[in-house]
Amino acid sequence: MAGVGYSLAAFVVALLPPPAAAEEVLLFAGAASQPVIEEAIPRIRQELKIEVVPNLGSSGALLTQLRLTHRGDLYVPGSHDYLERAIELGVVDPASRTDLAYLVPALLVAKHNPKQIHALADLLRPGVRVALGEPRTVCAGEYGLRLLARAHLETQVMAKAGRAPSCAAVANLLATGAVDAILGWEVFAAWFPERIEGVPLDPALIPGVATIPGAVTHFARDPAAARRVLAWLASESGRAIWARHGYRTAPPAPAAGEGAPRGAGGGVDGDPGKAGVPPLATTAPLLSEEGG
Amino acid sequence: MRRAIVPAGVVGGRPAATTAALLVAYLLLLLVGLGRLAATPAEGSLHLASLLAVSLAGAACATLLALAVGVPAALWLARTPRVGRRVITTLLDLPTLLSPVAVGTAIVLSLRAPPGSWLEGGVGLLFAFPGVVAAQFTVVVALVVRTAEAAFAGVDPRLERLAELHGASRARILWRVTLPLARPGLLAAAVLAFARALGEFGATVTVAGTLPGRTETVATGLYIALESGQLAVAARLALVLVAAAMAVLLLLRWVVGRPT
Repeated sequence: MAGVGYSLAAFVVALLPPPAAAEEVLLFAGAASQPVIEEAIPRIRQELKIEVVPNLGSSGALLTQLRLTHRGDLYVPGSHDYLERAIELGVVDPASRTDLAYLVPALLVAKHNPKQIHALADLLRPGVRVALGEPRTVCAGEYGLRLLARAHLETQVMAKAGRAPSCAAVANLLATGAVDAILGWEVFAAWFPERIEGVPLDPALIPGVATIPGAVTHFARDPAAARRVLAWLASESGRAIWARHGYRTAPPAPAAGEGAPRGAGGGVDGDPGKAGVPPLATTAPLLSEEGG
Repeated sequence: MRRAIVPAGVVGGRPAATTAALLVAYLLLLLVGLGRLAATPAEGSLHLASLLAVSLAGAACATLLALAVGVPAALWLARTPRVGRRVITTLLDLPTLLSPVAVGTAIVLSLRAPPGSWLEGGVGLLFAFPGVVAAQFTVVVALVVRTAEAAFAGVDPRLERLAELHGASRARILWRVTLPLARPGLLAAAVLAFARALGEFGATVTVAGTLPGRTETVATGLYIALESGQLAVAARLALVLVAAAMAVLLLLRWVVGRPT
């Protein structure tokens, strides 16, 4: 009976309107951004008097929800390719696009590198299990494939590599010990500081940098409020939160002589004009962050 | 209740016992894996009270709604073998066989034009608690209908005729004969529907999203934890679902095993 009573009470509570806020912004964000969004919400409430209600999920599923329901004020997918698709589909206002954080492709291994993987070529050793995101659908997988192509190891590594359906799935494979190495984003090491570490790579191999962007939807109930939230996430206060969770808030400079290609949907090519951020160097910590 | 004595069979024996033991070991292995991961320090936050509140409330409402609709439908199906019955039962079974994500997508699409848009305008299903209930109801209602239909089919119609011969009204026959005799099956339908709704994910996340404290359930919270790299949180939530399922199964055994 107590369970029934609790259920009924919870039902009543769930039906009650949320605590009144001056404005409310429904934020559709990639699930990987949850720690950042959770930390930002009370700050935004305090500083902007706007209640941000997050709806988290995989970026593709969120985009489909936006298209089907025409609900949601702000879209912050896990990588730029989804935002480009959202722009193509007329879901978001391209003029509102704002890059919030930068994702650098990386080779990642289990903590303390038990399999002694120090270069991409080590992935070919017998007994080394490797995985990456499905390159056709996962942005990190596409960048991983390019990384391999630059090292001329694409064919051999892909012949033995497992493919995961999402960024998080790739990271989880390594964190749970299902594989010995993955090609993903360097920020994965910050997601699992006790389980994952990065292997510094030759900067010339880095094929470019992806971004985590945000944009206001065309059907935002209050576009001005959504823009203010987006601006806050890109502000110094917002960038500090991204940085605290291991994300770069400025792109690394490309290796000398490299015009790194843009991502599938418009990643950042590491504009050398954005000085002040060191390139990924073999001697530098993988997550060195100067720009944020 | 006396237990029936089961005589030793001719077939089966050691190979069958070994297979059963291996299956049990495999399932235990899955639980041990979850337990190990759950015991590691959590990387993220776990709002279990909020997740449980939405889950329990959603599953309770969906079950009550499914019983209110499904039990009369099941009674009709069990008592009226008419032409078209197969078509109707096939339609009723569809949500059970379809992918829950497809069910959720169908609900969302149905809300875009009348009469669905009227419902959306009035109640507001999308990204709201009623959407959790609607999604779970759609997934579990066929389960209720099928289980309740079997329960009603097990009631001997001669007992109802006998009551009629003694002058009982139809309502009285229903309340005093049919429903009491079908009670274990109906309770099983309720328990199964509640358990299925509690673990429902695909339709719920498609219709209602994952709004914390409003539409995020244990099952959708588990998905978010996995997608955000919070493995220990995900394992703990999975164990919560396992515990809930075990409790429901034990309750089901108790309900079905009780004498009528």
